[in-house]
Amino acid sequence: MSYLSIVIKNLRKRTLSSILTVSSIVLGVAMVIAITVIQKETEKSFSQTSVGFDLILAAKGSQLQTTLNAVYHLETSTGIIPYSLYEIAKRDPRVKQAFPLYVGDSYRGFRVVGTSYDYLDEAQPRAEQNYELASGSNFTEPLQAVLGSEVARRTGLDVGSEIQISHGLSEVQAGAEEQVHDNAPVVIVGILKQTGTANDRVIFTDLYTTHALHNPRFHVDDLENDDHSHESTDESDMESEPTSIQDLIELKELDALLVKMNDPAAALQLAGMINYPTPANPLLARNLMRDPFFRYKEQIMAVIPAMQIKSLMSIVGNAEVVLKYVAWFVVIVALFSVLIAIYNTMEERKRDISVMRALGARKTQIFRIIMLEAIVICSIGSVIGLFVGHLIVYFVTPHLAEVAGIVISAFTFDTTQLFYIGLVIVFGALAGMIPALKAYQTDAVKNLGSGK
Amino acid sequence: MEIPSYEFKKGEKYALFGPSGIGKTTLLHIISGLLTPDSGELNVNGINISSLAEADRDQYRAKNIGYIFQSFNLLDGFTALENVMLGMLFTGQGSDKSKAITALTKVGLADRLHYKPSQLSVGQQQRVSIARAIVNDPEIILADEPTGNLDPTNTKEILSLLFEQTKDKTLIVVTHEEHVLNQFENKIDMLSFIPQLTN
Repeated sequence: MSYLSIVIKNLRKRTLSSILTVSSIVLGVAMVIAITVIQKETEKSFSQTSVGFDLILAAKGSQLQTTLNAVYHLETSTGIIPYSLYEIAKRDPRVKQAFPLYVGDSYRGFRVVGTSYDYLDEAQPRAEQNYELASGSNFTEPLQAVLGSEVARRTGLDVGSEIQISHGLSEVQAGAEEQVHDNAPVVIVGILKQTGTANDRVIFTDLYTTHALHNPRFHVDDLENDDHSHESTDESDMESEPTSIQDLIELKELDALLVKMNDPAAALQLAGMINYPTPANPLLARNLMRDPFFRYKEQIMAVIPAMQIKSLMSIVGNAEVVLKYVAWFVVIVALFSVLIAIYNTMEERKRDISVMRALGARKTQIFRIIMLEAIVICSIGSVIGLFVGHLIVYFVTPHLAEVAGIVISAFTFDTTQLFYIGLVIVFGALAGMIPALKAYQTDAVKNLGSGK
Repeated sequence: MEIPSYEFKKGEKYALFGPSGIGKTTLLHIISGLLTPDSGELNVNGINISSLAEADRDQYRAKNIGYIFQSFNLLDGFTALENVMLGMLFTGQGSDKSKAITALTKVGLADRLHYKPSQLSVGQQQRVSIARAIVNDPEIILADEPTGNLDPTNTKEILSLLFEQTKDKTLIVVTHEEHVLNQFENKIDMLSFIPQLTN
């Protein structure tokens, strides 16, 4: 027999009332936890993905749109930039890595992204994480593709499957005419492991393939062999007898160029030069004019993705703060319900309290028993609420992965969540003090009953 | 009510009687430390109980007093065993299950340990109440109309049990039943404590 067993007995005595009171805490805590986890994981997913690159070079337009398009595979491209920019970037000593992106097509709603052959080997989908193949191999020649994990899962495609890519970035609506690039069937050669980023929803292929899809002169049947070993821009190739896709296709344009600098601080400098190329200082101006990127200043802009994501998060964060306030309000209402539920039982419990006093219970012990009841209700509610909150996250995750490519890990517990649980229990104890005070003041003699 | 200096001898059995409202139960509450007298003092083993702080009186009551009520005052949601163990909880020495089982065995309820009050007869409920009163082995047992709710057969059994289980203890019973009163050598007429009547 302990205080806790007395409390459990009291709760079981009023089963329905206890379940309803605990449920109100569960509801509030689950909301707080679900919002907290989704907010934190979304922010983490966005910011970690963005740190993979220091700079994005793209056609002038919205910087946020470019970031969402190039890194998160959302939105549309702001326009076309010259392919030669990629070659300049590769030669530039300030640049550690550069990856071209060419988009505009899709397969069953999943984007097809044309990039360099080294992209999947060298680029990082998120901080300190490389792409890994679940099966097959990287694409090494045109008309080959590697699927993101989500694409493979949703389409059921496997290594060796052949797909016909459609024009446009989204799935064709029912009844609408689908424009299929049947001139260039693409073979799946590999499937990536899950990265937990938007890249899981992408089909990666090379730039020749994405260029070929838009070239009406190209047809796969015209190819005599597929021998090739380099990316060529030599226009004279177009004049000779086509033997490979490289002979037919000229790489001329890109949607964006993802750049990783040797010194991340240089990204700011380069971005400043590209975006604001008219310094007052003539010496600086002369230096700028020697910069190989300078001649593209009218066509391109430089975007620092981390900054864009930070500003996006601050906008999204405001909505999440409001949601969090609502959730905490539900918790406060739930705490009041705990207070009221226990307080309302005080009248019928006067006799029990008086009996315990007659058996030697001190008033402070009675006070503690009632307060413990509030703590137990809030503890049970909080723990269940924690799991229900994660359960909500678990069920929301596939939807978020589908619309935003954000993969959230449910059932990942951290100190913030434990702090919230602790907070609810502490405030529950405070709420329990009011009925506990009433119990403390119970007149034992008056409520014991007496003989004749 | 004015009580002149009066001594309850250790191990003796006393019956308090008198008309309703005269203060029999109040006197029990004073002896238990639940109430304090307006003036004067209550000494138990040389300690002035009425001068103690409330928490100390509670502790004194937990260790030295066994309470038996007319309406049993068992907690509804608790089994017989749990009700008896509850009597041990506030002594500061924890609840010893085996002691509670022994107490219930002494009152003949070894086979009713896990029965709730609503599943027991009134006689059995009063037995649980007696077990709860004796489980801490207190020096003083206070019984307020312990047979008031019982039929003659149960009254006889409960009284017999009460005497048997409180052999070496001071037993103070409040009663208005003559056949109960007759079983006590020490009978205290509460009317004698009303000064106007005494004079």
